[in-house]
Amino acid sequence: MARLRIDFDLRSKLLRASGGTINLCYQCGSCTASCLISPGLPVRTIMRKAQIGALDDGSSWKCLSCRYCEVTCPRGVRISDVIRGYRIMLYENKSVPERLVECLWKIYDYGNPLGAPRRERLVWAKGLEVFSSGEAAIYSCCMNAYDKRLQYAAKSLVEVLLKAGIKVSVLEGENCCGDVVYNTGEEYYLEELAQSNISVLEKLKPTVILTLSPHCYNMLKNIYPRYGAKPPAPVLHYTQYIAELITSGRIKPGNLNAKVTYHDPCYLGRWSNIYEEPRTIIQHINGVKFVEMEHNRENSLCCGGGGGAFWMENIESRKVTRERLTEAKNTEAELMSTACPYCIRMFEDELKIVRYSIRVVDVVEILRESLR
Amino acid sequence: MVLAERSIWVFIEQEYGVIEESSLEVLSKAREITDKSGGLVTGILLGWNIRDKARELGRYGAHKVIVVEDKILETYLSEPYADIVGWLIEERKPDYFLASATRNGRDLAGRLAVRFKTGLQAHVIELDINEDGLLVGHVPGFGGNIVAVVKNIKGKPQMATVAIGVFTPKKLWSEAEVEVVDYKVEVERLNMRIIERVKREVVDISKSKRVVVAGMGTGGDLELVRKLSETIAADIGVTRPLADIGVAPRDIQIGSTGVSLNADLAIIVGASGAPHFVSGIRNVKTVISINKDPEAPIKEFSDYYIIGDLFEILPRLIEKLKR
Amino acid sequence: MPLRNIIVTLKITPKPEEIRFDPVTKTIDRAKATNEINPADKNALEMALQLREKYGGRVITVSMGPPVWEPLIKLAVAMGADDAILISDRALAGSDTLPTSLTLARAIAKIGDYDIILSGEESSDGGTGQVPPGIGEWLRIPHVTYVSAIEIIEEGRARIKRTIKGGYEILEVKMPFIASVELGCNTPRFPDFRRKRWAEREFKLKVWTIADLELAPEEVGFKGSATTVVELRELKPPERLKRVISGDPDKLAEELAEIIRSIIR
Repeated sequence: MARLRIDFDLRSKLLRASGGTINLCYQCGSCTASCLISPGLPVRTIMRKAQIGALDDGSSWKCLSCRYCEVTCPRGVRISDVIRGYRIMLYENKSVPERLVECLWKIYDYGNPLGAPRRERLVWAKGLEVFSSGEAAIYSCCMNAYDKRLQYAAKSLVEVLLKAGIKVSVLEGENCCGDVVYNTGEEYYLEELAQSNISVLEKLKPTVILTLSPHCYNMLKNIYPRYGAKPPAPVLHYTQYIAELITSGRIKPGNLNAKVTYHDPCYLGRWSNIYEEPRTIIQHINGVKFVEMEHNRENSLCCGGGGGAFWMENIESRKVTRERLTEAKNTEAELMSTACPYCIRMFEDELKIVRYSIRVVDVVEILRESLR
Repeated sequence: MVLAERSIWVFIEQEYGVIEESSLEVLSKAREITDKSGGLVTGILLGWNIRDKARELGRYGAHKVIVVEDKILETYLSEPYADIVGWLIEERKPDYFLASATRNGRDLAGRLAVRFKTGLQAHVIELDINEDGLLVGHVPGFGGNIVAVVKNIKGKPQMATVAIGVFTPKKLWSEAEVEVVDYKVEVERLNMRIIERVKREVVDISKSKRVVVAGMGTGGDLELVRKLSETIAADIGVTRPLADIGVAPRDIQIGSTGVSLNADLAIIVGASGAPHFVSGIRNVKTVISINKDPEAPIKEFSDYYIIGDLFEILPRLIEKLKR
Repeated sequence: MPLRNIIVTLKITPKPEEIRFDPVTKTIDRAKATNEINPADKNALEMALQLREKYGGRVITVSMGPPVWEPLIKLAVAMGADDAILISDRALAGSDTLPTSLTLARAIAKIGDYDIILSGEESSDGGTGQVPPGIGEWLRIPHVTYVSAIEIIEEGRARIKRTIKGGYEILEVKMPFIASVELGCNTPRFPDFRRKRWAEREFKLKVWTIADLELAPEEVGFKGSATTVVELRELKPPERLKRVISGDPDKLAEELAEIIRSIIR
């Protein structure tokens, strides 16, 4: 019989992290069976260990935080919160994947997990009519700011907003939202980071804060208030704002003849319950033939990049990416649209290897394309 | 100091009897200096059963070679090497002491410079002796973007380590005079010893004249890259992501944490050109890049930028080059 | 056999891509660049902290530089260093590696009770890698460079793994010794931000002058150096042709084959 070390303090921490729901788990195993990186992650065992306060051996680091298991769980256990609770414990015990520690250092030293120079943060906005304060403040993901391909999505968003007559501002001194810090289980630097980002936002006096990434959205809207950092204006994912502008007639989408499918990013869909707005945008574009993938909305598959996996570059993640790409290919769509920079990067990198003839785009990019 | 009597010592690094090529680079450079402005070049060779290799060093520029043999000197070990070379310097008082800036060269020179309270210039890319007899070198710094012109102002011997691959070994002169010096190493009194040594053959592409570099755009499939490299007698290199996923060993990874190329030609296939990679192709004479992206960062660092799919271009290119 | 003091020489360096060379004044503008702990010294500090975890002892950092280094030295304390010393003195300005290694060696001797001294293999700004062997010579203790791992095997003896081209060596070395630590041989731990706050509020950095080290001004700085910088020049990367060629794959291959043939000839 295996021997386990029990830590009662850990048990009560995990109970609290799960909002009490860990007690509802009756070990049916639906989570392990449905886990997208199965057989890599023994979810049921981890839940059992949490119930009794046993230490995790590090399996928690494999979790993509996609919450697919939570949809299948018949009892409503907040599985991903339990896993994050374990990560906090593992972080305190200094048992953290090296890649994540490297990301934390890069965010501290350079303001982004890529380690790209601070002074190049706003290069993407050069030449665009943006202000240092305005109606809509864009909180750009580090990936959108520095990755040359993803800058195109950020630029597209600005251009679409300008066409609608919105005054757009970008943040001077913007830093990473800290999604990877949160997923690493580090709490104290995260607090400082959150508070410093909020003070930068406050300077802009925005009416609304728009994020390009669902991860930034989740951090600013849901996580920051827990660390004493409250955003100075409502935080929206850009698809919510743009969908509203379309339905109110302020933006009139143009023409684009293409068969398009849509991938629900986990942090936009299952994490934030935003399913319809991206679809509204796409379906308002004339000439678009919209088709759903086999798994969509709450049942959407993951891109393989959540939970810090984007930075850890595991081989298990790639299988998840490939499975979703294959689903997209099966729709015979020309374009696979989505609304998350991590998803786009994961899919595009995998396409270099599988070479399917499908193009990955951000929803705002096809909107901009149609407005030409 | 009378010019003709000026003595330049060059540390000749070796391992198991094999002379380190970069030491020959320094030797030839030293001889070029003395041929031009006077002086004698002496090679300092420590090793085991090595004396037969000493005469040949003359062809690369040594007027004379001092040899010390002991089993413990078969490979580099900082304590006995510093003790012996230090003792020789004390006895014979050379004016200049040069070493190749290999790890061992810098290790040895760093210690000796303090022993003799003398100046030591680090990995110089240019070197000469001025009219005042002072060593003047070009020292690169700050990631290679800035070079400092540095002069030794006091101490003897004046010292410098020389960057690897900057100078070329030249076989122009005649055999050296060899002096074997007796030195009994008291092994039991050493504060260190080597108990294990693991080394495998490494491909050193920093010396390759032609390199075909595979980037992530190949998807990890190096078949075409291999065929192309065979066709033009080139070596293969990879970018970091390919080494990360295990498709190729880190020995052939190019960039700031890998190898710096000194090739005449580098053909870079499917790599976007991240800054840390680009620093590794700085010294390549001609850079050709093939990339699907019309605006990949590597465009700025290429002489020829081919926009296209490598899987379509390479087979055709290989075919045409074979003819 | 618990260790006594594990001393880490710590240099604060400007972030490499932020350094600007002014071609008019021909000087390096360090003022605009922000600082970081020299990356290899972070690896050295991490190694020291791991040694302390395994064998006990106190980790003490020692730095030679200006007072503006204080916040980053405190970051090293937040990573886990027990104590930190800064040697700061106007007379040190212009020191090359000879007075630098001398000053650090004197400070280490003053701290005393050292079993192991660790140093990053070289610094990211003008890294020479000469200082650690130099310190070894001043202190008359053995030195080993490019170390990736250290294990204490018995009282006064350590087993050290040293990286060589294509492999490694294992050496047995008598303590005390100084080891220069290979860049990237470990992953430095992220600082404990609770400890960082304490360090900023309560920790008192010891500051020593050259007088505290019984060094005369002529022994350090410009006067104590054996080399001097005559001038600085910008080393521009090579001008590339940047000729863009696109079109039909067959034509591209033909043109490319021509170019390659002309180069190889």
